[in-house]
Amino acid sequence: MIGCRSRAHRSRLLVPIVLCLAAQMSAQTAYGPARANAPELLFAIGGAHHAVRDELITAQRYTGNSWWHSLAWRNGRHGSVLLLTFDVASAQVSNYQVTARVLTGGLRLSFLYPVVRRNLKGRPFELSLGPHTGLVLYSRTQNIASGGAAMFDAYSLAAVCLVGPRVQLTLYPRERLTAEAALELPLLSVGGKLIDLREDKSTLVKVLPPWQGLAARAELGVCQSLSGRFALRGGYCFSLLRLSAWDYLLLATDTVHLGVAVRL
Amino acid sequence: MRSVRAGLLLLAALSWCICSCADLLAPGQTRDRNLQDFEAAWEIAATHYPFFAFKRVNWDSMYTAFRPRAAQARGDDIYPLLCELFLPLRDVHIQVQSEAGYPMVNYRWPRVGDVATYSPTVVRHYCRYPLRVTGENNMEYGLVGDTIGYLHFATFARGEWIRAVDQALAELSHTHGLIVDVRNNFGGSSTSSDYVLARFIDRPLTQVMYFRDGRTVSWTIEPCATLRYAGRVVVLINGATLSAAEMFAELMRQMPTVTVLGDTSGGGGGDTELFGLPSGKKLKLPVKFARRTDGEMIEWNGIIPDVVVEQTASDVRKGTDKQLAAAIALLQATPPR
Repeated sequence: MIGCRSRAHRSRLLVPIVLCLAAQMSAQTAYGPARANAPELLFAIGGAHHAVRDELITAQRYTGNSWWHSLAWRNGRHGSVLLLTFDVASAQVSNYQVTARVLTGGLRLSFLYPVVRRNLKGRPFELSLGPHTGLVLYSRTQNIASGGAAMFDAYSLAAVCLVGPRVQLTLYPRERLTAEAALELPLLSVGGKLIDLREDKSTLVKVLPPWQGLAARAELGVCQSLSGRFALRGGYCFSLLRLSAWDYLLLATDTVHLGVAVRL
Repeated sequence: MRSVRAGLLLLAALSWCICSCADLLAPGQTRDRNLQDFEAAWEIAATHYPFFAFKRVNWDSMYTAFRPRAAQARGDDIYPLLCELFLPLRDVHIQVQSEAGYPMVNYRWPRVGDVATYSPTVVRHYCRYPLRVTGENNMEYGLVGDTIGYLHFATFARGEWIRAVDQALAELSHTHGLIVDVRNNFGGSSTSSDYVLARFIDRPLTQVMYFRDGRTVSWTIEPCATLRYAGRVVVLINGATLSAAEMFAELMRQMPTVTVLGDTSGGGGGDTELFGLPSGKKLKLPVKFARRTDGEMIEWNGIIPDVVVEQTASDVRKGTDKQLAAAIALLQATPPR
């Protein structure tokens, strides 16, 4: 338990470190809005804190920390931006002495079109809006559980394919510094979840309105250009997967990440 | 300098807040009822469990040993604790289920590895024609060789699917003999196994179940008036044949036309009931049990086949099913009806 808590504290301490680093770097050289949408590959690694409640298995909340990895492709064309991201995290979550392995991942595609471009105290900012689609996966294996006679381990699996808008606010406080805030909210999803077939005769796949299936995400980040080709990115992301069409599932993840963007 | 410190402090506070979003949105469980669950589980077993004397377990001493730990248990810690509590009973039927009904704690019987001594793929090596899978994928049937029928039940789970056996037996009625394969069948409901049994017996059979206090409950399985397989039958069993499937094999062999062949069954002779615990968790526990016709407990002892043919996972990996081959040979050596 003590080890688990200290890991949680370490993960939380990453946030000020990353943000401070970014703030320090902002004193460096120039980076402007004109180049913000240049094609780039982004690699990021971070620490994630997960809280999960999956009532197919148990009503107890499990929490834990893990590494988080992300790979993204971003390309600006004709004023719009395409953003393709893939991220994955594998965590051992626990409820007191009982543990479970949770694996989450997401593949997301967004198109962003600038709707507002203004100056705020002489510094440009941009509000973009566009469609967003994605596939979010979740799996959980309970470490203590065993279904003896049924010969399967306690296991849960969910997948959500979603469509909705992505809203992004981009600020350029200094020439080489960019700050971003984004929100992805699905309007409609198609979701599937493993259910207890002995008890539940409902279908495994359903069309989900937001109140039954929500795979939302909010991001805060800064990007500091280091040279013409490389930039350092850091930020925070909160993601939420909530399914109530079957046994209730809620997976909430705080992620603090640091990465490198390579302009192509 | 002061403003930098203040800024850093503010930043730290802000980051602390945003990193708590996950915990805030997924609230923890309301208060634990682990001690009440433990006491209820112990009491239910003390009142109903029929094998304490047979297994020589002092249940009162378990209460003394485990209660202090139950008082300390938080959250899902109750599951490993109940697992340890019931472990000395070595009972494949005991199951603790979560509030959602998910089986969280089970005893895995020592011969769980026997599951690998049967393979439906290897069975198909002996079939000239594809087997027909039916009954909601719970059974399959066809011919092994030209004249011997093969009927496999993967389970005896309760349900209407079992009626598919009528179609299967109608199609196999012309065969020289029939292999009824209940290997890797973990049991289910006697309603299903009795339905099948009624299609093989020529006289009423009585199944007796025993309670711990000596009371019994019995019922009679009447032969099916419209459909009966009258030829020679070999019932295949192995170490992964359990519970209702074991009782099925034991009742089947009371017919003179039936031979039980294979390996000793798994030894799960209890009949369970589901009890609620104060928190909403559930406890599945045997409350009565069956005996073999020789009077011995099925629990732990299993069913000893009339013809013992042991089979290993290695045999199956080599593509050989010695038990099925022996059953075919036995039926082929039998004169036609």
